[in-house]
Formats: sequence, C-alpha cells, structure tokens
Amino acid sequence: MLTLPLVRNLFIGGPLRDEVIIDAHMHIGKYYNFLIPSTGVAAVIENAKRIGITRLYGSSLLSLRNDAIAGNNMVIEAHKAYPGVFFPYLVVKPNYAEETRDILDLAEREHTKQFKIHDDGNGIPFDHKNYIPLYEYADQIGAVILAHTYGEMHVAPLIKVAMQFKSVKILLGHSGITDEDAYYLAARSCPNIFLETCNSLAWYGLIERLVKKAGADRICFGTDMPFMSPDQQIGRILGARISDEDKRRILGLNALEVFPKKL
Amino acid sequence: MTKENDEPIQMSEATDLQLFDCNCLVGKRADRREGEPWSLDQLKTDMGYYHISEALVSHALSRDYDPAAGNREIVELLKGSDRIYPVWAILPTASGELSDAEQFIRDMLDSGAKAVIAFPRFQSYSLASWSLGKLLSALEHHRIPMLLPFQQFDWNEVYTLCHEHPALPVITTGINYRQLRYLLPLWETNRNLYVDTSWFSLADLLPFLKEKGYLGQLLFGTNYPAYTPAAAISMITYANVGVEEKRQVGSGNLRALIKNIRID
Repeated sequence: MLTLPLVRNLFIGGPLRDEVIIDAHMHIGKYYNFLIPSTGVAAVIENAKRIGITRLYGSSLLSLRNDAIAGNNMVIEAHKAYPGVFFPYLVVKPNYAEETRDILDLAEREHTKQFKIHDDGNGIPFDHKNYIPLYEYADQIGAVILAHTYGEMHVAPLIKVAMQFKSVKILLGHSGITDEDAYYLAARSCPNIFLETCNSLAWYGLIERLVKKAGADRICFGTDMPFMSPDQQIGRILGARISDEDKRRILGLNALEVFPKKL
Repeated sequence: MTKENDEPIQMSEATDLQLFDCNCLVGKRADRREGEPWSLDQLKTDMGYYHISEALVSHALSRDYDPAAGNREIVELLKGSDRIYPVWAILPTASGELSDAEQFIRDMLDSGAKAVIAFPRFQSYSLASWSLGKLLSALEHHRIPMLLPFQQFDWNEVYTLCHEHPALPVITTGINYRQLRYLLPLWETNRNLYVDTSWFSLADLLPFLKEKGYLGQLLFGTNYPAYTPAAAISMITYANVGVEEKRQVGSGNLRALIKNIRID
C-alpha cells in the first residue's frame, strides 16, 4: 500500500485517518479576557474530530481562574458524556490549599491521573509548598501533570519538582514559546519531563529544533483549544521538516506512553 | 534545513488556493531568532515548499534602519522576481526623509510596489491627520493598501484612520487571537479594515467570521520569517468552511484589493 507523506494533509486539510492523534492540552469553558467563538464541549470535540484527533485531555477554564471544585466537576461530567474521547485534567490551585485534599479524593474516586497547574491570577511558583500534597500524591500513582509555562521562570522550578518526584510525568505546556534553551535543559535533565507543543506564536523552525535538541520521543502534541485553533496547531507539526516517523510520535504515539494506559 | 527537506511535494491540490501572503519580511533584522531565514533565496525556497503563489514583502531595513534605504533595497532585491511584490514603508512627508505624497506614490507604483507599511511606534511618529494626513489622502485616492503591524497602533487610532479615510484599505497584521471584542464593533462601521491570519489563531475563527459576514476582512498572512508558513496554511486548509471561502481568505480578498489600486 502506498503511504502518502503527512505533509500532504497540510495542503488539503481533512482528518488524518488511521493515525493516532492525541491532544494533550485543551480546555473547556469561557475566558474573561476575550471572546471565544466556540466554548462548549460538543463544539470542541467536533473540531477535534474534524482534524482526526481521537482523544483529548482537557481542563476547565473555570478551574484555572475562579473555582477549581466547580470546574473540575465540569470536566468529570464531560468525561462521562464523552467516554474514551475526553479525559479530564483536575486543577489544583495553590491559593486554595484547603481544597487540595478534596480534589485528590475526587481524583481517587474518579480514577483520574491527570492534573493541571497554572499560575494565572495566583502568581504562585510551581515549587511552592502548597503544591507538595499534589506532587506527593501524583508521585505515588505515577500521574501526569500539565503545567502552563512561559519560559524559564516556569520551567526552572518544574525541573526541581521533576527531580524530586521522579514518578510524576510533567508536561511543559507551550514549550519553546520563549527561552527555548530552558526547555531543552529540562528535557535533557529529567526523563520524566515532556514538551507539549501548543503555541500561538508559530516560531519558524521551532518544531524542528525541539526534535533535534530534545528528541522526538519527548514531545507531545497539544492544541490549547478553544483559545487556539487546532487547525493552526496541527499544521505546525505536519509542515515541519522532520520525518513522518517523528511526526507520528509527536502527534500521538508518545502520548500513548505518557498518559495512563488504563482508561 | 537540508536540501532534501526543502523539496516541495508534488501535488495538484496544493495549488488550488493560490495562496497570497500579505505579511512577509526579507533582509537581516534586529530581532532575528536562532534559525530564522533572512535571504530572498530562502524565502523563494520556502514559498515553493509551502506552495505559496504570491507575497507582499517589505525589507527589514525599512523597519529597523531607514525607510528610504529599505524601500530602495526591496525594489533592487525583487527585480526579476515574479509574484513577489515590494512593500514600501511610509513616514510623515513633513520630515523630509521621503518624497512628497504624490511623488512617493508615483515612485512606488512605478517600482511595482503594491502596498505601504507603517511603523509609527517603532519610528516615532503619529498616525493622526496632522502628521500623515496628506499622504493618507493620496494613498486613499489610489486605493493603496496600508499594512499596520500589531503593537504599532491602538484601536482608537485605527478607528479614526478608517473613519477619516473610508476608501483606504487598512490591513492590521499580526494581531493576536484576543482582539474580537475590538474588531466586531470596528467592522460595524469600517469595512475598509482588514486583518491577517498570522497570529489570529482563534479556534473556529473562519466559520465565525463567515456567519457574521466578515470573512471578506480576513487575509492570509504568515509573518514570515518569524513564523512558519505551515501554521497560517493549515488555519485555512483545515477551516470548517467551504473551498470558495478558503480561496477568498487564502488569496481572493487580497487580490481584490491589489486589483483595485488606481494608477492615475
């Protein structure tokens, strides 16, 4: 059977068929700062299907800004509505430390092994003591933590966390958006750190450099829907001057290894 | 990049959209990141690889050094380059660094330039009529598109510009995905305002603008060489709209503006 190069889809659009495409970074809900045309779970999942994404890992924007408990319940409900397709990240907020135990209990009850951390609004560094209960729990169960990052200020504390809690798999969101070298250092220093690709700034050659300097087996595709367009994000991978084998790893094969196998 | 990696794939479908890039730069630049190309040769190679048919291109000297020098350089550089058109930077005519308005426009049209670009913040001047008025009126008379990069303006200035010069096509380039609350009210009264796709990477943007009747305001732009063209291309090829709408954004809207330039 003739296998067509993946870059072909960049020019013709349409879903990638018979490929494993996993979105490791997306959201549901609204955001205060700007108008987003599509915010509902159904719309986001339709968008994902349209480009061939078969599995999505998402957090609630309500969790990230205001109310972790209410937002986490939203993603648990979305998982129940779309089993096998949508998988929740539970948000732990360091400025509501009194809620952490309840969130970890929810994770236990719902068999959720993915968490999201973000300093939007709270400004608390990722190596703050209020995150320790999360890290200890995640270390015990081998959970995945997706962290929002914008360069070295976020990556440096996460290197410390990854070195201390070696069974936690840490995904660095928006890898390479700025301070690229910090991301390469993190990937080289910590086998439990992975680089997630979503980035509204589509830097020329970034995907190629990530592959060259961190290794294709350390990179996971993400879209940041509904902020960013999955249409735009998949093009950054399809159009990169890397091998199709590396593209397949980034688009989904790595995520199969990173995320818990028992769904 | 290896030579092998630069080889465009052969496919007929890729040429359907006839992509026309409104936001491109060439030349050595102050803010180059590691690995970013700057030469015309690499621009041509990348246009081939990414199946981009035409482009409006300004020179980095026009932005980072001297508009007059950059305008001369881009014309020299693009001599003999089919389908890559110069963009000239503007300044207030009173500064005396460029010709008076009518002469400037005659020279730029004679050179094959198809648009102008303004960097009022970088280059320390005002977009207001007391500063640029004569030149803006002349550009408007000739229907010459004016590119205005993000962070070189605020939206109140753009409103005034579009309102005072309703026949002047104003193309704001590189605006980020957080701008719809500014743009939707602006488009209610200013249909001479356009935006490019390079950083306007919001999910479902094309179907949303289609539903609102504003798809005609969106132009394909890459912000090359800072960004990979691949991102801007898939925003269109993967968009949840029909082929005709993809062609409209990919090239039709810009081609119509270029066609509308008055030479007289």
